[in-house]
Amino acid sequence: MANQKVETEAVLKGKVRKEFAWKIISDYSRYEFFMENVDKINILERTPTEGKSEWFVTIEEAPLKWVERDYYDVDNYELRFESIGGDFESIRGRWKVENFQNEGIKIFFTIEYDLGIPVIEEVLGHILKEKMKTNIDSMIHAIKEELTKSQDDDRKYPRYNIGKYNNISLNNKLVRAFIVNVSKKGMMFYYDGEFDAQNILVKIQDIALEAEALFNDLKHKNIRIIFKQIITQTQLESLVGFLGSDSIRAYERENIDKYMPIIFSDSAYSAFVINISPKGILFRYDGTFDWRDEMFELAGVKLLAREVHHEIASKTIRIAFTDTLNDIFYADLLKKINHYDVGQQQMELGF
Amino acid sequence: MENDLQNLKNPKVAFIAHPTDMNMYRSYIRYLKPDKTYDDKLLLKLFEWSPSYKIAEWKNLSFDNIDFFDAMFVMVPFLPEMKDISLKKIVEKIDQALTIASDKNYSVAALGAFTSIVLQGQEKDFAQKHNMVLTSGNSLTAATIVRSIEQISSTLGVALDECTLGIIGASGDIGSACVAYMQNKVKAMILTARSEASLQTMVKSLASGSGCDMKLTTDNKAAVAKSDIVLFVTSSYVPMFSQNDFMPGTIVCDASAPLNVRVSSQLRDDVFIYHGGILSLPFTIDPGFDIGLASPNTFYGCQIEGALLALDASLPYSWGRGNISMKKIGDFIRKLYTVPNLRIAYSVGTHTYLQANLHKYKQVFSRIKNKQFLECA
Repeated sequence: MANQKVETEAVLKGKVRKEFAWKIISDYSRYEFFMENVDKINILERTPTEGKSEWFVTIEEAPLKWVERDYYDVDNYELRFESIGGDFESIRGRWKVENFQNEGIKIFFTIEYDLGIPVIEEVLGHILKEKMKTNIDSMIHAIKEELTKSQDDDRKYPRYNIGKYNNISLNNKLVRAFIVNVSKKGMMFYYDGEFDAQNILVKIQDIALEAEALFNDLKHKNIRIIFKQIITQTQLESLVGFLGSDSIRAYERENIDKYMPIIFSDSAYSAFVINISPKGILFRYDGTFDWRDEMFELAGVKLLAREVHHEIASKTIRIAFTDTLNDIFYADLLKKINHYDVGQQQMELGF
Repeated sequence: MENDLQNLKNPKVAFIAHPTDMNMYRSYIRYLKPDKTYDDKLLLKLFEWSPSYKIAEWKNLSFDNIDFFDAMFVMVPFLPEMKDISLKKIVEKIDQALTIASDKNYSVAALGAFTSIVLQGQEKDFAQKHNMVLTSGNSLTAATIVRSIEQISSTLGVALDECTLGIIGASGDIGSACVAYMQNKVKAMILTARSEASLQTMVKSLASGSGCDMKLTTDNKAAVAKSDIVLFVTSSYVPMFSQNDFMPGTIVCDASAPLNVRVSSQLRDDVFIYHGGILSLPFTIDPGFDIGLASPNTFYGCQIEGALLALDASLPYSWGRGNISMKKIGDFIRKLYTVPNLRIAYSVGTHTYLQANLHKYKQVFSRIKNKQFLECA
């Protein structure tokens, strides 16, 4: 008998993100906790894009088991799977999350199966199909419930917008991340480095928090972590105060937009400094220019940097300081740049 | 064309049946899907969900090459192991099976194993609904059993009138018919049932009163230990005894479905155990998978009753419980004599007894009898 196909979909309206749904759908290890028909799923193998899992499911008191290969396409929020053994001759399908109209998401879930027992599968035909449909309906309903619960939690624990780069420690590694928001339950940030998303230890100043990633949108480097324990109001206030503070050295770039001399020991160039950060400088130089990896002076401050990018067409050059500037040094440099005037430049250039 | 016309004229009997136990069902699934094994719970549920369906159809079957009939095997997906299935659901499945048969103009339906028990008391309604003759086939089964006991005891040199016959499940439809028939043939009977009260009721109803010494009990083991011939006609779906539980020189007729006595591949040579109620045919009824019989040339007496009813409308059908009269048994015993090539089959498991086997058993039984005689003397 040919493969039978059942499909279902669910729409969630409102400010619900695909990443949330993806996190829940792609985390098989949690299915047994919120899907009634799933008895157990053993994760046998898992990489960011592929996996192998062993399923134990009960459909109306009928125990079914199979092993499947899973293919995770995080960019498209699509999870495909195909059995490689088990009670069904074959079972394959996919989860897919898409944006829905202007606001909300739509989740698709499709399964194609072949029971593979001649006669019985023909006799059962539409009966088994109905049961499989009920089964996938209940699975997608469980996903929707889980998603709604997660949104309810969000409403229960309001988020405080931060919108700043900050230094945080992720698993004992100091990283620079753009903190979007923080709540008693978790925080959201952008970070393009790698880290263990299952067991996270976040340290912010003297506050250490254990967490796990609710979703990790690899495409957009957008990560939401959930604290293993809801933090106290005092801890939250400390976090908001600290993460929202301007006193922290920022890697975000300060716009300068003025001509300034870049002075080497034997020559000087008038460059249009576009921006600066503790990491480096972006400037434009209209003439022919080859960066020299040696000490130079800017606004009276001696610096060492190397060229990282030189765009010929727009004549913009990005240089990176050999060592990231510390807070005091950088604050002093910024102050001198801000106070730098054209007259001083003319003098330095020898006009 | 001639054949087609012949087919249209042929009387038609539907064998309505189900696997008698999980082993038989597993074997059926292995036949359908040889390279795979499944959890019993899953198999049971798949079967429970399934509606009744046609397994096979045979055209132009005949005992004598003069009168022909067609037969159809309809599966009722039911097993006694289905703990949660409702009676209503089973009746629904039997109704589906009857619909399959009546839609193809089948005139007789032989209700095998539990299907006849489930439908007890409703036979008339379903017969009218489907415009078919329904039968449990219990009359021919009972006739086959009692004749087989008479026949085999004679063959093995066992004098029936000196024997104690134990009947396990004696208050059932077939059991009580066997009691009625055998009471004047044996020296004594030990009758068992789940309740002694039902045995007493049954014994009181015997038309001509008891012709032999009768003991009523619920103790199956005691009955087996004290009987020269033991007949099993229970509705138990689990084996109750093994072949080693019988005294040397015992004849065991196991006519329960599923069988009540577990036999090993190495049969005992001092106990004669056979599958009761089975008939040998001049044609094959072979659905392709194991239906609990040693040969495709044998079939269940209850189903063959349906075939005989299709061929001879004057024969009585079997309904309900306690309705197998001595006349009915007599009618069917006559059929066993008069229908050409219809014989009582002696087999158990996959083993069919041949004449040479029977001769050997006769010698062993004779030695046992002599020994017992000398011990008594």
